[in-house]
Amino acid sequence: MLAVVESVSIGESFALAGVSMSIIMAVLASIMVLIYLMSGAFKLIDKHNPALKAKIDAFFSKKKNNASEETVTVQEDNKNIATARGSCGNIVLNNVTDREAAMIMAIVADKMQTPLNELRFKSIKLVDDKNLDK
Amino acid sequence: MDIGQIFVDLAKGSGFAQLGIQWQNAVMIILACFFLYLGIKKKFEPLLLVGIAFGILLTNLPQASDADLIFHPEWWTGDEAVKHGVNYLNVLQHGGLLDILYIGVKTGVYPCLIFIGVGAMTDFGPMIANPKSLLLGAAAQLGIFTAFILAIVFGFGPSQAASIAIIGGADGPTAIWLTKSLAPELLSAIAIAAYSYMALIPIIQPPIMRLFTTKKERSIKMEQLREVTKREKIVFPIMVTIFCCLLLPSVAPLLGCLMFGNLLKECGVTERLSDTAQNALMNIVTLFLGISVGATAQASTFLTFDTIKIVVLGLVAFSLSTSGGLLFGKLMCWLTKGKINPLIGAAGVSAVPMAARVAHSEGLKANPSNYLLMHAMGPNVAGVIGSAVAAGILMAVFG
Repeated sequence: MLAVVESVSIGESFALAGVSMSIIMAVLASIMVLIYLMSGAFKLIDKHNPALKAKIDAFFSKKKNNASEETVTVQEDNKNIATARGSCGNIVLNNVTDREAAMIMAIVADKMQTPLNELRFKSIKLVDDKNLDK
Repeated sequence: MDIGQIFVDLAKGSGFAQLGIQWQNAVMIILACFFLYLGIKKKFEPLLLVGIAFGILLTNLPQASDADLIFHPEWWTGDEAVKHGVNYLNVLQHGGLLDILYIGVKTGVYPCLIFIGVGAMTDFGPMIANPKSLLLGAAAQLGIFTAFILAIVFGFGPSQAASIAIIGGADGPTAIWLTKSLAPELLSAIAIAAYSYMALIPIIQPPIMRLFTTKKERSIKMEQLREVTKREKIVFPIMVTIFCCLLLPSVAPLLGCLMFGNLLKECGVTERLSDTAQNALMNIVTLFLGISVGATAQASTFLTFDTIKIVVLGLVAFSLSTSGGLLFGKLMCWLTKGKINPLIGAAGVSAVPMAARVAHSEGLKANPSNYLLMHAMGPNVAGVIGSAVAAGILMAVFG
């Protein structure tokens, strides 16, 4: 426990400010190093133990896949549902959840400075970076 | 029975009669209405400013008897409370509504609960993808310590100077958390200054950005960030909590809560808790925090020359923090041979996501195809950690 400082001269305040700023810089730089170490460690694990990587990826992507499956089901169900009055029709979502699609549509409308109900979206598709490289 | 006398007594006992005697209260009521105008009409941090302004209004409406008071500042900052500590039994038995709500401020519970909500709403992905942005978040704390020196020069005590300086961190809950312990008598002025400057970021920051950077620097396009895996996002809050709380135990309440909230969001198995932290909890605590902080702004403590000095020092702290981030951004730009846009340094002040948005919009003005938002989010969330660490250091030294 540090002793409580009750009075500080102007000179001491300069020293205190310098020391405190150095501590903050050191703490955040240490976190930066920790992040690099963490990322490096994960890369090493993935490189030397692909089976474990596949297992972990499967665990984390389980939830995402479930969401995508739900999206597809909703679309298929929607085929037989009449569209609302004023609606431009249906939209095809490829590997995109309803929530993501809504956000993309809102961003596009905002960027174009056009009301959302005056735009027609035909499809939204998740483009994988790996496919782009090919 | 003298009917006339009854009317005279009623008139004398009314708040209107007291208002004539206590003119300072009338000034505070006008001030509260002005803050309400800023919050409602100008939308300056309305979620908190409206609550704070209404708290000011309630606490400055004159009451004829002590029993009617909704808040008793002397119970919290009076000589008796300073010497022997707050008598919580008395507060619970005889306190007004705002006395009861103020317990959450005095014990530091509200700012920590808000940090759980902030953590649950924050995506540390951009920062993990570009860890160098942590250095920008650190550099943007420069204003805190420069304002500390200036506050000492202006004649404030060290604890008061530390509380005023933290305004430069542009983080309302952190400012409240530190001030409630170090200088509770300045709480209302500091909270109002901190939230006002956070709301004024789009006005304060752009001129400073243009002053410190050239158009060529503002036009720099940054490389796309790498994808951050889910497990990195899960390990990060646990790792930071262990490291920082072991290194600086005084940051545990704020940083621990921030990282706990983030873990709720990222771990994927506590969606209900994450949702509650982001919405219901955050809203309830914001409601209580705003109104109880506003209640501390009583005429006797608020209408002083010190309040003006705090407002000026807060602005200086905030501007210097922005400048510190920008200058470090320029240094990193030079070191990386133009791969980092210095504008993202200004987002190192922890007002999330407003500061990142301002950096993004300034980048867009310089180059219409320049999208800096995700790059600026890195220093922005690093700034939250930086200001929490700064508060922890000041608490360890002066608390």
